[in-house]
Amino acid sequence: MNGWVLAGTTFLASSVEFVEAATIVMAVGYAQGWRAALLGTFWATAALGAIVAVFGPLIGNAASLARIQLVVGPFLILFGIGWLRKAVWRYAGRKSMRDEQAIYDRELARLNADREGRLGFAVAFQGVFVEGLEVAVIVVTFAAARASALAWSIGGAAIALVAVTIASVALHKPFARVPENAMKALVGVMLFALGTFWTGEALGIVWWAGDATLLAIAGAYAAAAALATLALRKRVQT
Amino acid sequence: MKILGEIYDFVAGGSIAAPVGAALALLVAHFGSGLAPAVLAAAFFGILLLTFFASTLERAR
Repeated sequence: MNGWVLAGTTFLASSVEFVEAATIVMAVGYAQGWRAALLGTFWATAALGAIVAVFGPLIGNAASLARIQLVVGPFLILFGIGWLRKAVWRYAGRKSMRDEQAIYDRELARLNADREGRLGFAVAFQGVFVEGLEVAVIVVTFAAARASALAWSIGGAAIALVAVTIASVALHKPFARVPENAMKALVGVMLFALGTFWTGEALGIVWWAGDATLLAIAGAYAAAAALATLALRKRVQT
Repeated sequence: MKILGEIYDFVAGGSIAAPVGAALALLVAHFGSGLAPAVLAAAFFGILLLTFFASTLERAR
């Protein structure tokens, strides 16, 4: 399995979640000061790092690869379906596109109304932790499914964290133009495909073309998502 | 119960079709070892593909 596929998937998934977290952290910073915003971010990142550091190697070394794949594979399938389904709903107009600017304005108003200034740390911590938790689970899951994958998946997430942090500092405002839905759709396709491939392997399924089958599965899921989007759009119009 | 609901939402995103379809695919793969390997792989993949469509359409009504 190509490590770049794993790193690319965690990079995209992490970028989406960190962009969403950055919106909340910026709102806290501008409303209640950067000390609360950065402290909340730091402790949430540390908590997520601890989850990966403890559970990544633990699960990876705990049992035979096939057994672990059988446990984590279905999680990836369900995560993948969830990400892809939401992206399809948004493309089809069944769910509104996520608007970082609107979320930022709403958070800013809520935090400005908190005159005692006590919410900031908790909001920043919760924002980063909740958005990052799924990424942490994905990273740990990858590590469990492939012994060599921990470094690749952590690498992808770490690069996303650095990129989003640098962009946040440079822009000083929410990321209104990031193609979040396209990134979510791509992450959904990859999680779903990797989950299918690994779970199948663990159950003794012999894939038609070995590792290359993963690309075919991913292509089929992307095509299915496009079809579902078209079908739902037609329903909206009729 | 609330925490179970939260975990279910986190893992399955509130979908019923997704966990049911995934469980069905696992059962077919586990008990279908008598089938030809290519057929078994196609059945497993096909069930998951249909699960995606069912899950996407179930909540979009």
